[in-house]
Amino acid sequence: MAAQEVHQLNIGPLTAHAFNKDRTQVAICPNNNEVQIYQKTGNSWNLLHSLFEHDKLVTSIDWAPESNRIVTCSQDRNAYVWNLDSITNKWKPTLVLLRINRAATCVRWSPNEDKFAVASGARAIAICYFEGDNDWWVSKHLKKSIRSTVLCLDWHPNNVLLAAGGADFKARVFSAFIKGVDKKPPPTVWGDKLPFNTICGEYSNGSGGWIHGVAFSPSGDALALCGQDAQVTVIYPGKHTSEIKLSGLPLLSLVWVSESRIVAAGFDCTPVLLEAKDGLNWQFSKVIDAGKKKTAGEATVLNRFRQMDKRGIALDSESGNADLATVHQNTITLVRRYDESHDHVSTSGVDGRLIIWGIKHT
Amino acid sequence: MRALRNIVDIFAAKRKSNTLHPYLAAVRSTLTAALCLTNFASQVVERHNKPEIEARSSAEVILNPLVISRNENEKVLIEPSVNSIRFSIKIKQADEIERILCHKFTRFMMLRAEHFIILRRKPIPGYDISFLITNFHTEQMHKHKLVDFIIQFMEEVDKEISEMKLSLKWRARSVAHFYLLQSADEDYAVALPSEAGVSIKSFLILKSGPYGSSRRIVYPLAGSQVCLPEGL
Repeated sequence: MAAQEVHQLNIGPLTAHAFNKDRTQVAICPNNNEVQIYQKTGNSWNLLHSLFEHDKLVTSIDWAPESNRIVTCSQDRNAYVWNLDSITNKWKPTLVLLRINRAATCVRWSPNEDKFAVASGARAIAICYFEGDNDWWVSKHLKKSIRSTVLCLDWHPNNVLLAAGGADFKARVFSAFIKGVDKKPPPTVWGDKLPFNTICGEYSNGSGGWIHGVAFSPSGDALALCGQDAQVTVIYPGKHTSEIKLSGLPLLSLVWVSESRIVAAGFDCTPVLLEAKDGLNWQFSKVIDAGKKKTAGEATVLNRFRQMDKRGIALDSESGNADLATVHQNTITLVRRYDESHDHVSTSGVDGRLIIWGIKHT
Repeated sequence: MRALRNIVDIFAAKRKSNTLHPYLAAVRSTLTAALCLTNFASQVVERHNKPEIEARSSAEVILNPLVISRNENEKVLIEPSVNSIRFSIKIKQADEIERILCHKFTRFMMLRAEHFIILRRKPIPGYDISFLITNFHTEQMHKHKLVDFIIQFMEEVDKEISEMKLSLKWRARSVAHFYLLQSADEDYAVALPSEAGVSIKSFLILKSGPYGSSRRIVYPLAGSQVCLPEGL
């Protein structure tokens, strides 16, 4: 089954990618200070726009589907909101007053697209919203008990709660309620009184380590986190915590494809699928990209054993082919939901490939 | 199939007697796990992006260092962090000659560190050679190939040094040989080195000449000689 589409958009790494609403365009960063927007024509991608405004590595991109705005953040401590000028057909940047003094690491639009969160190395998360009076984006900082760089973010569907994980070995759920922007949210499992900067929960993964990825379930009632310890922890607040130990290398990013399925990926260069049997009992389900089998001829058997004996390796690396058996040839740094029906996810990684995986069919 | 089984048995038997395999296997799997690096900008200095294992500016992004040792003379030190790892090797040095050769060899490489990309210009104290691998290296190069390179290096460096030692011995032997051939017709007595090799740094030639007998101490490697008067 050809359940994946592979697009090689860069020779070096892709640090971030974001699709527009109808997935005809994608914004990527080719591991420098540039943001490129590609248009899909047929089965290939053509470069439409190059956005130069940052002066250091762009770390994260997010594309608001409804309002068609792009937000980018970078290690130069800035974030820009880009609007498409319909007359000139050019993307216009607006600087955001982030007020952070270290690298920005991750940016995400809230579900209603009226604010966004920027994680940073300044031990703070900037919640940015548009101030119509002054015609610019201003920010309020979430700082409480954050002790190191914040590495990942995810918004709760109610537009108020925000999950963040970081290098201080903790994932936290904050309230990012902004007066004048948000209406009072209905109570959730995370709490009912939610003024700005309330910590609704603080979690760590089983064996400790940096938290590389957090994600709320589609309903918002559960939070999944993955980190350097190659475990995925699923938290149902006040009820149940499930830890899934994986045999491979650490995971960097994860996304829920339904209430009972998670796709996660990382240093193993392949996405894995985790499933909850009867609701809460989470288990490793399968590797989505099992990889093509390497065939070894009869004549190389001796060679292979010699290799194993000499260097302690199992594969014959001297066959000349340095490629990995998986589709991604290097670490996957980002997994994102591709469509609203949750049948597909898109991944991008250090190998410069953008891959769209069919989840239902595999 | 049986032939294959035999090969497996032979190698299994050989492997048991050889501690190199488990040592390299342990280094390989530890390196693979430690080389999980991400791009991480400094959280102390604005707009900097430095290897945290060298900068050591924040404690939480540095992991516990790990030593894998085969014996007291051969070990590796792996120091991982969020965006870089430092890998140091203590190379086997059985005697003075190996120590000199090892020093010369690693110095030669470290002077040309930029050609080796991941080589560090100075070793960590207590080790002979160090590598510094950052996330920028793992972005450019296949991770499994990097690990292969290091394992191959560990394997080759021992071989290289013992080969150099052999050729040094051979050279000393041949120098001594030719020297003695040349002086045999005029010399009466020659104190032959008990074993032609580098462990003998000088040898003695007893010579009777028109002015009485004298002793000469010959340094075959340096090519110089010292004449000592009788009685010394």
